[in-house]
Formats: sequence, structure tokens, C-alpha cells
Amino acid sequence: MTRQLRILVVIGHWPSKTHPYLSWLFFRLKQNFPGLSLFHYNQPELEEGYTVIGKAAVNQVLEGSFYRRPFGLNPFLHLRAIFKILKNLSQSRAVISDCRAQGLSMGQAYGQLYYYQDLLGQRFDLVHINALQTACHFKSKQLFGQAKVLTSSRGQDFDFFPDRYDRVLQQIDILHVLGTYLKVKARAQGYKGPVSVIPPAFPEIPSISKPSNRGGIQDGKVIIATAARLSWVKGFEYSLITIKLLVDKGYDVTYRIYGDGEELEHLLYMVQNLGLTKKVQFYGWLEEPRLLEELKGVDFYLLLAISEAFNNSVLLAQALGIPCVVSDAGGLSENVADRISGRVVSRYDASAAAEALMELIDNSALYQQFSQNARQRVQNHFSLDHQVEQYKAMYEKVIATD
Amino acid sequence: MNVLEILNAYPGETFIREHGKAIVQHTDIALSWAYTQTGQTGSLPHPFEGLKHCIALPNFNRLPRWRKAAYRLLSPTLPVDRLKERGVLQAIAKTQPDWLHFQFAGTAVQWAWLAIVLQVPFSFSLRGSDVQVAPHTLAGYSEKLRVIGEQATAIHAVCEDLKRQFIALTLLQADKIKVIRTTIDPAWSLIERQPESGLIIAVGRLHWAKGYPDLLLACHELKARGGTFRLVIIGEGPERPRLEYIIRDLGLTDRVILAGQQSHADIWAYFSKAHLFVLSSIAEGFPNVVGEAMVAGVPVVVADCGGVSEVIEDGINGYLFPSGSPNQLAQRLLIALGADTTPLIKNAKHKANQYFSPKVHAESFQSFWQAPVETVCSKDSAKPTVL
Repeated sequence: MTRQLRILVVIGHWPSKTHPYLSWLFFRLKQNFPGLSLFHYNQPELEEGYTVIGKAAVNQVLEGSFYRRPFGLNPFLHLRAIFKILKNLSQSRAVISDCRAQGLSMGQAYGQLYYYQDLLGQRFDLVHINALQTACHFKSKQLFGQAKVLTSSRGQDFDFFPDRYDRVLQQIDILHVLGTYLKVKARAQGYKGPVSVIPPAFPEIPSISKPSNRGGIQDGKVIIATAARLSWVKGFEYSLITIKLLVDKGYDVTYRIYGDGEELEHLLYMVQNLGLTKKVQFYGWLEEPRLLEELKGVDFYLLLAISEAFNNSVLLAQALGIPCVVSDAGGLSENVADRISGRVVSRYDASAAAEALMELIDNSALYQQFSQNARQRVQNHFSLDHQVEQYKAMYEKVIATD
Repeated sequence: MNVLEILNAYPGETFIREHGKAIVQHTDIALSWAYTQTGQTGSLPHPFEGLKHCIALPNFNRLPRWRKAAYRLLSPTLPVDRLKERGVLQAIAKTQPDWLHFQFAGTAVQWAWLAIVLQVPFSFSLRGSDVQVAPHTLAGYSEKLRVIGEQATAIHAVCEDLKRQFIALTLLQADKIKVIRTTIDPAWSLIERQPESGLIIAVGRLHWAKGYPDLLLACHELKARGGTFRLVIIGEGPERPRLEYIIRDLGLTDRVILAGQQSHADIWAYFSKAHLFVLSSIAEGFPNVVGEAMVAGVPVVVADCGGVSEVIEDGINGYLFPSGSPNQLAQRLLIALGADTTPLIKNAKHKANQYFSPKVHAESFQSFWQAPVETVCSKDSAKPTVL
């Protein structure tokens, strides 16, 4: 009988209400790798987790997980940390040596051992750190003992802080990225190690797989939607200008925005200034099951982001058969196949987006074709089963590597 | 006449300090200032000479817990509102105001109760975001503005555009609102101009209202058209990550510098070297920095938003483009970079001297405050009611 592989996944939130697809992924991986544990930084957002994958599934994955308690002057935790350090003296010395080599003080080196005392002495085969930002917290690879280290690059890591991850990239055994765009960025940053490209995926949810009848715009009323954080990276200002251009051309358009964030004030001002108060509706952030229901009534999905690694909502929209009009920022052009499952236009260019939408509004046959292709594309390229198989292969390959 | 002005942050924005200096230099009004957001109590160092009093209003909500507890202990029967009121009244007792003026509509919404308790007339200034942004983003704010507008004896607007917007929002009568332009320090005219060809400057907080992404898109187009230029954006703010990203994304790292917050002397030096001044805002009242550039003799390329078009005539004393239009901005920049701007600068200086004179500003405010007081005294009009 083969030994059960011990895998540690390091993640900020789990289950995550903002990234529900990760809940599905790690639930399925736990079924494949019973020795998979989680190390998470924040208390699980259980209620949201339950709504996504169910209470039993949440508890199954959380079983045996580690939770980093907030730093504080808890004498018990310090005593426990010292005990662990003494018990794993050579590992602790290696961690301190690594930290000191990076110019950290002895206090900071002890902080690493204190924070991550639960990891000392563990014999993991693989540590999968879910994001480059998270990996930065670990100042020494020795905290994971002999384990192989895999880190995912999920978002705007390289776009915003291109030099911040140099140390992390030197310490990992393999880099996982969501798309070719991020792979190119990593290579441009000087990373020479192996890279595995596995895009996000969606599970076979009955409500998604049930085909809806999308025959194009029949009654002249067009509903366009975006579900995203109200953040500047999402380029909402260009979406609003696009809507304005459509309204000026005489189209009966309603634009729904699902999400909240720091850009709300700016967007509310723009809506007022562009005279779109009756055309734009802000719904706030919605949990995935409700968002799914809302999106079923939508004709187009619009995302004119200026920086985007991949975007899961665009995948969700395609899974529902909604033609997407997206910008060419980051990995969006890998997500939507231009002129097949939707349209990809230049970022910062609202006119191009408006023209793409008008073409699809006016051409029902094209709309129907894009809609069918979008659903087919998600089933063929972004299914959860396929993604889990790719993860399994990646985990097994990196563990087997000498 | 004792006028007490209520301000927010100490020592306050440049345009408010210039306003205060003009009042004390050119009128016989005894001007005092009280700040609401200093976190201190008592007298503060005066930002300029001639101010009668400069005090910090105690903010009960910001007091340390032990001070709040002490207040409650000493006055256990008084509700919090009465405690706040008593502390503030004690702080401003020595100013004995005949008139209260709130420098922002938002401040008036929060603090108008002070005028009601003191039983003095009050006015407030419409400067921009209080009318343009807050009513559309804060629930119930428009109604508060309408109520406060009805209660105020007079209302000051920095431009006609804001006056129009406020009337549209509150349906108040126009004759209550008086437009008085801001004032610019005449010292800006003393700048010795040694313009560097192609140096464009923009000055202002890195905030969405300033429309800097449009400016960067215009620079991208300008670069594509072969324009020789360098843009320096002076100011700091929450938009820095967005702008840094767009600069990298559009390949403008060799053309654009985010210079951050600069000292007055450094801004002075930039004004001396600038070939052009650009304003790309999408929401403004009247941006004082445009007036400063005009006085300093820097040709301006400005977005047509707020009260800007009331001062700038396209091609006469500056270049005007539709706000939110990077293509048009790029066109204007290209024209301005290649043009002989001497007559334009002369016209701009002439206009600025007309519009932003400290003396005219101060005298306008004197009549703004005094005329209604005479009317109020003669009619013994009803006291304002609590919001």
C-alpha cells in the first residue's frame, strides 16, 4: 500500500466568499488527497462556505487544518513555541540562519518561528501556497522542512509589484499560474523554474448546465452586467462610457453592477454626470448562488478591466451562455475567445466595446452562435473535473521530482 | 463686525488662507477662525497675522475615553449633545461673533446648530464636492443641503456653475446665493519664467476627481503622434497605484513623473520651468491652481468642468477641452506645445487680475456679510430652526 501523501495548502481565507471556486477545488482535492491540510490566516467565513459547498464538505476540508492565531503576548503560545523550537532545533536554527541572511533581526526570526510554530517538525511532501502575496510572509523555506514548495500566482502580482516576489520566486520548486499571460510575466521577471498553467474552473452545477434559451435580443431591451469588485483595475469608468455611447445611439440598455468597493463614489458621480441614473443599477455584492440567479436574466457580460489575471465571473457568464465583451487586459483574451465566444477589445477603448455590443445586439444569429460557443468553451476547457486532474498531475509530478 | 469662520482641518487649504488674508488686509472685519477637526482644544498658532482668534473646537467624539468619562461624571444629567454644545460654546465665547460662516456646505450641515444656539445669522460656501459629489453618493444629503440652504441667511458660491447646480438640487431662490471668485496670492506674478520646452505640469491631489487617467491617455496619444514632452504630476493621494500602473501599462515611464507632495518653493520652481499647465479634472468647483498658473504666466490647458469655462476662453487666454475627452486633450496639448503663447499669457494675466484680486474678493465678502445683517436687523427676522 502506498504512503498517503501529506500536502499543506496555505491560504488566506477558507472557505472564501469572494473566491468560491477555490472552495470547490480544495474540496475535490481533499477527496483525492486525504492527507491534504489547510493553513489559513483568517477565521473561516463558514456561513458563506456552507452556501457554496455545504456544511459537511466545509468541515471535511477543515478537518486537521491549522489556523494562525493573531500575534499577541500570550505566554502559553510563547512557551509552546519555545518547546517546539527546542524539539526541532536543527530546523529552527536553519530558519533563523535564513532570516538573518536576509537582514532580519533575531526578534523577527523568532517571530517567524512563533507565527508558524504549528509547522515545525511536520513532514509534508508538498506545500502549496495559494498566492505569491501569501508566500512573502514566509521568510524561510526551512519552515516547511524538506517539502517541495509550489506557489500560485493568481492575480495582479506582477502587474502592481513586479519586484516584490524575487525572493519568493527563487525559493519555490514550481510556479502555478492561471494563464499564459502570467507565465510570460514570470519569465520576464527572471523566473527560470518550471511553470504549470492551470486556469480556474467551474463545477457542473445543475442550474448552470441546464441550457437557457438565448436567441438574441428579441424585445429591444438589453441588459448588460458586470460582477466585480468596484476597484479601479476593473475599468468601470470605461464600461459606463460604453453604456453612454449605446444610450446615445438609441439602444434601450440597462447596466447592472454586482459588487462593492472603493470606487463606488467615483462611479455614482459618473452615472450622475453622464445622465445614466435611470440606466445603471448598483446591486452591491451578492453571494454566488444569488448572483447565478441574477445573471440568468442578463444578455451581455461586460468587463473592460485595465489589469486582470483571468477573471472567474467572465467564466461563470460564459458557462451560462452569456456572450462576454471584455478588454484585452492581462489574461482576459485567454478567457474569452474573440469572435467565437465573445469579443475582446482594446483596453481603455469604450468606443470599441460599444461597437462590439451593437454588432451583437443587432445580429441575433451571431448572438446565438456566441452564446452556444461560450457554454461549450467552458465545458471543454474550464471544467472542474479537468482542473482537478491537472492539479493532481501537477502535485504528483512535483513530489516525484528529485 | 465680528465674523467667525468655521473650518475643518488646520491650518487649511491655501485658498482659504488667501481668503482670510484678503479679509484682514482689505476690510475692517474682525475675523476669527475655529477648526472642527484638529483633535485639540484651545487656541492654535495663527496661520497669518491679523486674525483675531484662532481656536480649536472640542470634538466630543474625538476626546479620549477618560475625558469623556470625566465630562459625564461632572455632568451626569446632561445628554451628550448638551455636553458637546457647552464645550464648543465655551471655546468660542471670546470671539463674540455677529456672523458665522462655514467654509464648506458639509461643515454647515454638521455645525449649523451652533448658529442656532448663538442666535446669529450664518452663511456657507459652495466649493465643489459638497454640491457635485456628496448629494449623489450620500443618502439624504440633498435634503440636508436644502434645509441648511433655507436656514442660511446667505450662500456663497465660488462660480456660477456651482450656483446653478445648487439651485437645481435644492430649488432655492437664486438671489440668496452670491458668486464671489476665490482670490490668488499676487506674489505668483513675481515668478521669473524660464520655461523648459515640452515640460507640462499638473498640480492636484491624486484623486479620481482630477481625471489623471485621461491625462495619461492623452500623453500616450501625444507620444504616438511624436510629441516631445515630459509630464510632472505634483500631488499625492489614493490614486497613486492606479496612475503608476497606467504609466507602466501605456509605456510612459520615460515621459511621466509622479513627483508627490512638494513644498511651496518647489512648486514655485516648477511653475517657473513649466511650458504648459494642464488640468484634466472631471469634477471641480473652481480650481485655484488654474488661477495661480494664469497669474504666474504659465499657459493653461484645462478641462471644461465646474467654473473653469467662466474664466478661460479657448484660444484667447488658455486652451479648453471637453472634460473626460483624452483625444481632445491630446489635440490641445499638441497645439499648445507648438504655439506662440505670448498673447495668450498676456490675456490670462489680465483676466486673472480682474477675477482674482484680493481687494475685490475682500470687499465682495464684506458686502456679502454686511448687507444681509442690516436686512436681518431691520426686519428682526425669525431665528433659524434646529435641523
